[in-house]
Amino acid sequence: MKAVLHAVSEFVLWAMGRRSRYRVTGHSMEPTLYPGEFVLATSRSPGEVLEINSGDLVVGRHPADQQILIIKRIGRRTAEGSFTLASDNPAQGTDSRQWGAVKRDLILGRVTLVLNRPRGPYR
Amino acid sequence: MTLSARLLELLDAHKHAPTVSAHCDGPCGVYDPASARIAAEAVLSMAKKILAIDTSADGAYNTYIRYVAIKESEADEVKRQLDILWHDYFKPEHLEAHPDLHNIFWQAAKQCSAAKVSVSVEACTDLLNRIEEIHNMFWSTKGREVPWVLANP
Repeated sequence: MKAVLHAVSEFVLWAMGRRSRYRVTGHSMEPTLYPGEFVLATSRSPGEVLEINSGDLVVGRHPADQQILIIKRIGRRTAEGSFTLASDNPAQGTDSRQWGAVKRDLILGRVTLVLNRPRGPYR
Repeated sequence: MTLSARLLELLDAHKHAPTVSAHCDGPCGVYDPASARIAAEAVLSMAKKILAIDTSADGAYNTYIRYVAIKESEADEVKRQLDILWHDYFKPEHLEAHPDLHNIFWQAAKQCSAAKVSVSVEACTDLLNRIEEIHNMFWSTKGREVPWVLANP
């Protein structure tokens, strides 16, 4: 019931423009997220400081090519105030192991709702 | 959450959500036609091995099937590696120097299929020749002269 209430309130926030909707591609966040699944994430207004904690799923810009949006999990905060990003499925992902820590500015939003498709043997 | 996932899918058909990438081929910027060349050499090698099978030997049937399976999967790997070069590395500006780029990749991908449907040294050699052409085109975009070297000459 709590999950349903959370989902409803997230949808309301999305309808109000406080959440952004994204579709996942790629395999680096399996089993949390499979390609084609959707997430809602907070929308940050310019200058707003996002509260980010270790373990959060976040949407950000790729440090090597900012046109590309990425979805990763926050590892830890560095002394310089940047964050390391990790893949849930490290064998299938590039992340801070290759890029190093990512500046806070490149993190656009925290994922607040994950919408998984039904999981079964023939997914 | 199934219902809401379904709702979002319906909504996405109407208006696409931006995609967030959880990819392995992030823009690491490391490209080399050698990956396609190695797989294509494996295809050629398997074609030769299939043609050399002594069909009267014990286990020949099993050997035959194994070799064909490897030839199939390596030819698929060539296609995948060519695709990575074609849509991830090459950019519209490369078309100016190489106006035939799309056709070269298209024909090379078709040649992968030709190497799969036949057991033909000629078809596999043709595939390697097409990859050599891509190799030359690729390194010319970087202004580098890299010799075409085969692992199995």
